[in-house]
Amino acid sequence: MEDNLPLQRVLSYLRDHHVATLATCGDQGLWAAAVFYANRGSTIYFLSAPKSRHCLNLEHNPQVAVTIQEDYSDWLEIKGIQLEGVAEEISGAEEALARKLYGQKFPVVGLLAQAPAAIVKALAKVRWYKIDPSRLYFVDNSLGLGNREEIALPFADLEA
Amino acid sequence: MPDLKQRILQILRPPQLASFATLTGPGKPWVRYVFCQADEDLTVRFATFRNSRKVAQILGDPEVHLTCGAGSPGQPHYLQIQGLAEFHTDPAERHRFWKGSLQCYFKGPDDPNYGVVVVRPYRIELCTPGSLLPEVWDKEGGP
Repeated sequence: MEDNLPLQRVLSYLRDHHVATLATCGDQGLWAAAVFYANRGSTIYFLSAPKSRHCLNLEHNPQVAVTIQEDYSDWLEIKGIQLEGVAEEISGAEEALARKLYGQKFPVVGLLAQAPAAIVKALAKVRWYKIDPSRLYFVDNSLGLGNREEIALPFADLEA
Repeated sequence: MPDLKQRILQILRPPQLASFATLTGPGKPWVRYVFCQADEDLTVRFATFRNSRKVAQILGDPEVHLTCGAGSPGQPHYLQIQGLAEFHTDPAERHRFWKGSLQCYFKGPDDPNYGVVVVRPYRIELCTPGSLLPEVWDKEGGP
């Protein structure tokens, strides 16, 4: 059980946070966008407009880097995730899984029949993407300043 | 309603954790978070170690990107900032930026490992979740 502690912390952090900063690189250079995400294990799912700059970048270059953090006022409390990997558009069964996970995390997406018309209209235009990390670090200053642990990949959700 | 620059400053001015993206090589981004603070002219500064990877990356390619306010609960807007970064170790810049909270990383403003990254934005997008069109501030004259 003790061996799983870092992984438990990462999974809890992924579950409890909602926004990731996605860095991509395209013809116009570097770009970092905020996206709402859901995850299954180490795979991150997000939706975006295909004409957004980060999605246009992904068409040409799937290399991405991501941070997930919140705003901490105390440096000694900072926690967060850094990762790099590749992102790609998904469809079929993978898209269905992403929709399900996303709907569980963001009920407004899961209950489309009850969602405001603007949300339904916006969702009709999006596409679904996944990120498969090749390196992932969990930073936790509460365990020591600059404490950064690399987590072995891929990982699955832990059984309850 | 205050003008766009003032609304950007309202988000950017307080010290905060922001995502800072650089290129590690051709077409290969990396992003980490940094504690940064902005001046009235929108210049953003943060402290770092002289031998950090981000410094080497900035020296290799000064084009950088900052995302501010995106992870803050209750924050209705966030910023996407394109800029050019410089790394400074001159005493004036180090003393100007020094604050007590840096003491957990550095011995003092004259610690030889301490330096300041200065990001000069040339384009800032003020984004509102749910809205596809950001409000854009461009520096006069471009980058």
